[in-house]
Amino acid sequence: MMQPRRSLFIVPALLVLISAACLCGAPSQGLEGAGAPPAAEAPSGGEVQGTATASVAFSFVGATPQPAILEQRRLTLDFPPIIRVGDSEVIRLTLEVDDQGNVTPTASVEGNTVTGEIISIPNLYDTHNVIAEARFDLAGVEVRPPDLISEALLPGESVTFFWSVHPESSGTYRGTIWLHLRFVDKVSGAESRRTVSAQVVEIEAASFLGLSGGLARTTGAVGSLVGGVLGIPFIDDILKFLLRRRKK
Amino acid sequence: MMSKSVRLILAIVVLCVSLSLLAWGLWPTAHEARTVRIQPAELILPTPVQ
Repeated sequence: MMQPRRSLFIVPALLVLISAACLCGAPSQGLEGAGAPPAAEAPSGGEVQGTATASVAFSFVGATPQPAILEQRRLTLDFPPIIRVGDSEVIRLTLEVDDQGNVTPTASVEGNTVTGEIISIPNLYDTHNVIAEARFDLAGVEVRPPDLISEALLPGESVTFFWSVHPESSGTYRGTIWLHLRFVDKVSGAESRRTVSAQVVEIEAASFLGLSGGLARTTGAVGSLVGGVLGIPFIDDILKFLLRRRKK
Repeated sequence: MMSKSVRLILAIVVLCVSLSLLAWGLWPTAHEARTVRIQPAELILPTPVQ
């Protein structure tokens, strides 16, 4: 009588251990990653800085300063590093005004000494229409929209770009998210373009025992039902066994 | 007739595998955030090529 009872607990314990080991390969960073996203350094396109600075070095052409956007901005890329095969995930790129808001440009004279003298830099918004353009290049994965997305960049306002990513087969995919600014002269209509950021993104499409996300959920639901039906006749025995153990 | 112990083991195996699949399929996907500060000096008109 003792043998089947022992196996009753040894077998599930082993299976639970195997299942837990398999789950370690799954996209299991959800809880740790969702709460506090780590700020990572972008591979290219812009220098990552810990704190916002008030004095900013501007480039000058000849004696007159170049028109500039007199705002300090922050570019945030939010993406899932691991996606289940067959599932869709959203990637978000936001170009927002930094907490410091507008900056006071200061001139640097006599070596590296910053004097704090306020200089007059023409505001680009006064002379140009600024358009933020973004594109996500990722080969082997369905990305929507696949083309360039454009949005007007207005003073003090943020722009957000969304992409939907849908991997069809497992593997690791590397892509680049580009952000450009297009300046259109309000008077002449002349256009110029500047690349602000090009961030490399690596996405892993994961499958579980070769199953996609949707298939795993369906199989899991059906299997749980079948397992439950198969185990119904033993519920009484299991409850009696547990009660007996508690009495001891 | 399937013996009682075989049926029990089968039920446990099916349940464990199915629950693992469900857990994997429903686990929330982790998101990573990268923040880059862009200075106004980078938001200027491109210098025309001479």
